[in-house]
Amino acid sequence: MREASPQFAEIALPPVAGLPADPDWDLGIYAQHTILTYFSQLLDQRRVVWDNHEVEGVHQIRVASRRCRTALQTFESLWPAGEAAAFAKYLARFADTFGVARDLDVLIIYLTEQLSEVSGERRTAYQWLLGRNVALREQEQRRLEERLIEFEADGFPARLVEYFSRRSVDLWALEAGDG
Amino acid sequence: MAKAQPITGLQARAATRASLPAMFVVRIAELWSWAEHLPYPDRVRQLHDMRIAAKRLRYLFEFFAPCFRPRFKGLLKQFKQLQDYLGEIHDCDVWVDYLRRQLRDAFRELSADRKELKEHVGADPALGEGAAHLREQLARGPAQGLLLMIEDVVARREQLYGELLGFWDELEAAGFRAQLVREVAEGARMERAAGSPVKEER
Repeated sequence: MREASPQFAEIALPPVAGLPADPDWDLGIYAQHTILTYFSQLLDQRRVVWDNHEVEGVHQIRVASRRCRTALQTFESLWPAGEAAAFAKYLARFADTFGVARDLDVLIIYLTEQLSEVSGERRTAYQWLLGRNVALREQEQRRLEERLIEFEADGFPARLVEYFSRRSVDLWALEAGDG
Repeated sequence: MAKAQPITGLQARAATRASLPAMFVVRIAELWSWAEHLPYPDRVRQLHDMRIAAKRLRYLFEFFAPCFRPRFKGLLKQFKQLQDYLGEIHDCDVWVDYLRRQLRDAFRELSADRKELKEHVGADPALGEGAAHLREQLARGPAQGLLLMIEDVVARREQLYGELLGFWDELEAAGFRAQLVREVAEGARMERAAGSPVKEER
């Protein structure tokens, strides 16, 4: 039976996170802004993935988590050793969950598109693969849901936003000027 | 997958533009460090690592897109082409592994019928019926189609690999790495604007 939908945490971001990135900022602000931007894109996709009505949701959440993780790796020397890496490690595990589902989505789309183009033995194989992959994808949805529930229960969204809103620069203390 | 090379010594109070070389030099070198494996088509893991290194560098360009001149988009287009080749080759490698696993399962589904053939002694007439049944199962099942698909993917991979080598030679001949480094240096040199839209509260 399907788990009840989790309450996806709504997390407030500092106003500066809503501005376009500015090369004239100090690197600390630029780095925090980059991390929060991609993490916020990830958060936006949680409901889409849970509802499973749009195939792109899984792709988008995976891409956003990968970009966020790459940003954490890029800028990790701005924070005490191991701190950004711990967030990156959690995100890597999170993104891995979505990898299998995304691969299956891509495969199902490809096989469905190709089915009308092929004949004979290839067609038989495509139909056989399609049947297997659709069943696997349904199983995979349960894993995604478990991971989303865990993500909220761990309080990871609030933890990451709190950390990178305040360190090393307190973004809440910045004024968003009019340029 | 190879770990990302660490980028060290960044300072939160440093100017963003001035920090660009420290980050890009590491990621550009990381990508080119895999190029020595390009002449070997069977180095699947290294080609995958090169693809990941290209992705890390691409993301870095995305993070700092506002720092670069508009003409930089032309270079990024070539970079995207490199990523596409590496990505498609990786897809072929993954796809072939996947098809091989499916083939194993397809044969497993036939194994009961195949084992049944061993039960017969000599040229038992029932053996002939069993053989005909198995042949029919084989013809109706996915195994032959999967084998054809493997052949298709292998041919596609070979074609892409040849194109990748040609494209890489073109990039090298055009001094692509030096062009990227020059663009980063230009981005780092561009002047700080008079007023930043974000000021720290004092």
